[in-house]
Amino acid sequence: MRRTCTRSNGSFLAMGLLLILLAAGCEEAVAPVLEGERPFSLYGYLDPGADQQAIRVFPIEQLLAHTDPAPLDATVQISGPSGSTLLRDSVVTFWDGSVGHVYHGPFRPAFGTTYVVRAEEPEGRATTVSVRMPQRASLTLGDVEGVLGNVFFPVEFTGAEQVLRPRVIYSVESTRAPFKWTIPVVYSNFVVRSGDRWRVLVNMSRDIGVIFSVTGLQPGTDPVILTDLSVEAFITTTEWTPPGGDYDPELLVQPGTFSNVENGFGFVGGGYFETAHTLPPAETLRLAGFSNQ
Amino acid sequence: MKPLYGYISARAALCTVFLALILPVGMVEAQVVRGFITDLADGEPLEGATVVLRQDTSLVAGSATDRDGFFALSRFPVGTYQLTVTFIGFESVVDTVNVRTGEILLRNYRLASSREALDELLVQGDRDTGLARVDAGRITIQPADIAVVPSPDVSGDLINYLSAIPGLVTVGDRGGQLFVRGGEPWQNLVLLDGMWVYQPFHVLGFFSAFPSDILNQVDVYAGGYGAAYGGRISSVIDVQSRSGNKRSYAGAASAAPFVTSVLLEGPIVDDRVSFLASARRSVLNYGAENLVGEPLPFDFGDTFLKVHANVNSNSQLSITALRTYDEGQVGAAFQPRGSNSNDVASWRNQAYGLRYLVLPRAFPVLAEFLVSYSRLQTAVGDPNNPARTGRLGAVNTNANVTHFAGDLEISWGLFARTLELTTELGGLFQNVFAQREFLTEVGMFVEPSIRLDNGVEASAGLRVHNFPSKSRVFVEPRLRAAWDRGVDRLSAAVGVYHQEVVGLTDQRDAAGVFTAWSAVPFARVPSALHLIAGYSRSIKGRVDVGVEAYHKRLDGLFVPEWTAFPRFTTNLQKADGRIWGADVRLEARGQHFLGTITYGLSAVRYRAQQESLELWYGESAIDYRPAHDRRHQVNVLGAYQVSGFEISARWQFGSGLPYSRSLGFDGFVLMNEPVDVFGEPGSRRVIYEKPYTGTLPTYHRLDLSVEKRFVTRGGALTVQAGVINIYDRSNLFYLDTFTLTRVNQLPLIPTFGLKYGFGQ
Repeated sequence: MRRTCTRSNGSFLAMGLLLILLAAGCEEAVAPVLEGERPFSLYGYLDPGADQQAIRVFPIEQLLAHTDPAPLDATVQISGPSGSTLLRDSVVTFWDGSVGHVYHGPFRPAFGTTYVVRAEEPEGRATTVSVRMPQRASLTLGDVEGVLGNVFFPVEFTGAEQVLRPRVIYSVESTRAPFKWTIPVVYSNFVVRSGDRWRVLVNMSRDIGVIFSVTGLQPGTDPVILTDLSVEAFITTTEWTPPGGDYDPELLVQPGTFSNVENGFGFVGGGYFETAHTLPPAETLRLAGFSNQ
Repeated sequence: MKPLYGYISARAALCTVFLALILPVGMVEAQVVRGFITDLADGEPLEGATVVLRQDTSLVAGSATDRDGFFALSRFPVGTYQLTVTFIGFESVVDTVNVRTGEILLRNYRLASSREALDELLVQGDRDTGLARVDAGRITIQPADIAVVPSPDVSGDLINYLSAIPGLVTVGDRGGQLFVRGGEPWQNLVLLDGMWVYQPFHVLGFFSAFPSDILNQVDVYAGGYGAAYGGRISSVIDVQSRSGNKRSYAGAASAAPFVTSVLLEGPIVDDRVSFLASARRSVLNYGAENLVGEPLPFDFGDTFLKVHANVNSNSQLSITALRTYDEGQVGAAFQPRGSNSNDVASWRNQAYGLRYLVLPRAFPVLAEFLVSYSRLQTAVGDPNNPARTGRLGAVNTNANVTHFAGDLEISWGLFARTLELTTELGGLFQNVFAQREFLTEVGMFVEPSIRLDNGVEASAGLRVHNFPSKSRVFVEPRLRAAWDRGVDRLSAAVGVYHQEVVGLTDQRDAAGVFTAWSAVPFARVPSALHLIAGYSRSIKGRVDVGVEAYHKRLDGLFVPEWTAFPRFTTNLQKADGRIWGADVRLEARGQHFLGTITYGLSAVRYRAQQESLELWYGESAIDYRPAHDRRHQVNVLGAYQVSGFEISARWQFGSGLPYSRSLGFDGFVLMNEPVDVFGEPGSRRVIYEKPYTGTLPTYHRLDLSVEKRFVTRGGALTVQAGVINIYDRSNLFYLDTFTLTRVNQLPLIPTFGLKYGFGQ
């Protein structure tokens, strides 16, 4: 039973008392969600190494409800020195059943260039983010060295402002199982930086322990044959550095904490994957514990 | 928040006062006259009766009876005296006692009522209870006080009076939580005949586990309580039940839209052993639901039984049992967000206690022994498979002794508690998954009190509280003092308190009812310092005016960490609290009229520390108003007796409670690496403002009831009619800030009640 409030400036006391009583009984409104000017939150990255770009767009809503699967009423475009590209909305159903809006389209940013991603409502409210692309870096794989049980090789990224998630990807197989495995080993905690040079010492003797663990093969019993070895890292700019240095979701979830978006929230970076492949000599691989012949 | 500077010096000062009071104990003269004063009609103890010794019309010694009707007179020379017992509404008793050197006399008296003087009175003209009676944080409540507050039940309930006390905040007419002067519900100590009752308020906020009919007296300490109480840092609600009629059978049955109840009492052995039994059960689906026109999915009830025995002239034994149950399908208000709306919150209390009171014939002391077992079971979720459950079982033992030496009384006691705490939380809830704990608390207290002829009375206590699980021993000084100067009364209290067993709740919602009891999760034990000072004045015995100011300093608290994830469960962060407040009270009464106006002003500030705050707000800690900070509170209560009708009305007002507003909801993707935005769903997120910067709407309501009692040959029929929320105010009970779901408190409800009693 709800009534709307009425207001009066009546001068008669009786009328005033009656109105006070009526007003007292009405429902006092409460607005727990404040009107904001920020329309969107944006996440993703622009990749100068790719021909397609994609940005996740969250509308900032007044209710915590499931995302509407209807296309979002917004235009998203990437602008740069060479012009603008309009991205189109894809409604994506994720593995957890939730629905999201990913704007994507053909576009290849240039290295060392800054672009603006702008998401705009028909009413004119817009969220923008300025994204700087990294310069192209070089990746050098050093020679594999070592003795039995201690085989390693150096990896060096040169000319990079920021290197994220360096990893070594082992492609292996075994005569004991009809499978081929691709096993990444992350080296984020083993990076040594010196200016724009980022050095990682890959320890293959240690990594083969990870491979046995992941594949379930038995060391000394089951042969593990390395078919390919690649080294990969994401080269980006200094903007992709979280406050405090850690990617702690409990910390970074606070809106605006790790954000480069204007009139909105989120983070859009610029970067690409630098990759190199190698397959060390079989003799060296055997020292590391592989069974290559 | 500033450190507790001055804290040590305050303790030192209190210890000095304590020593000053305890030293005169060696100056005791040995003669003692003591005994119990009871009502001749039913054998109930009479508290507040005056007992004096006179010799040749000169007053030699005097005392007032306590809640057990006990008195003791000492520090007078040997001789023959006239002993007089007086109590308003009863015939006085005059006796002659001849006291020899070192003699300890026992004298029990039964007073006959002089009903013609009181039958028509609404309240006594000169009384020690009432809202305007300022006594350093203490308010004493008797059933007659509760009777003048409009209630949806013809028998009345303690909670209706508690909610009229300034500084006591309820979350409304559903939920069953009570915040006392800025403290949280888990910081309240609720005792029934010395037994701990952990969740004593029913799911529908009009009812507690204590129906008015079983009550003898209730002492509410909103702070500053003495050394006999401990283990809680906010307040004490000490409920003393009646003993039951020892001379004849009496009973009552009542029916109302909310509850039905029966009560029976009578002698088991005439004049020696009595029983008192009470049972209540909610009948909302038969009554109130039809009146309200909306579902009221609540079910609750309570059962009480007490057997009291005068073992002999100098000892008493009572056995008390209480069982309560509550179950409520209370919508989104009590559930994890996003959970099934058919989920249910429930809790069950059990308490069983034995109390033995003895006056050793050879010593001038009163000794009390208490053993009790208390149990609480709580659950929330699917009734068949609750998401979270909690169980608490505790055995409490106390031995209390009071020495009498004229103006000086020295109370001391020993206590031990063992607790078993079991929580199954179905996931992370306030840093706790699932656990079973065994805790022990032991300690002692000593508290001398003195009452001087010039109106000064003071008690200074020390409580030593040992928490073995924390390897900590706390010494807690307490001081209460009052200066009664005829019509004027000044009172003050100060005390230090600690609490090891704590209740973990989701404090973002003041309405949350699920409490998981646990040992304090941090090394620091929550503590409090209370300071209270008050003044009251009685004008011609018909008007009382009172003012009381208070401050509570709470340290070692914990509150949920702020997070933008829209989840119910959360981690804890450390916090401290500072509470400032003041009450103004006015009570006017005539032969057939009682009017009370109270205003409470309170400011509760919490200061929480969290590592991430520096990054988020540029500060290492954040100050805020917690969800239960009701800044302004007004209660207007009026009762009038005319032509045999008792008409009572109450208007309550409370300013809005704080809550956290948001700027909206978006999503969060952890960009710890180049994320594939086609594959990473991300999380929903709340874009909060700074915590608790919003204010919910004000609360106000007017209730009215009219009651008429018809005396019949066998008993009396009481008919009650009333209206709750007479102008149909849509008071907010709960607001889900995520879905904007609003749950209002009860609308206008007409109520009708019938009660038939016999032998009363």
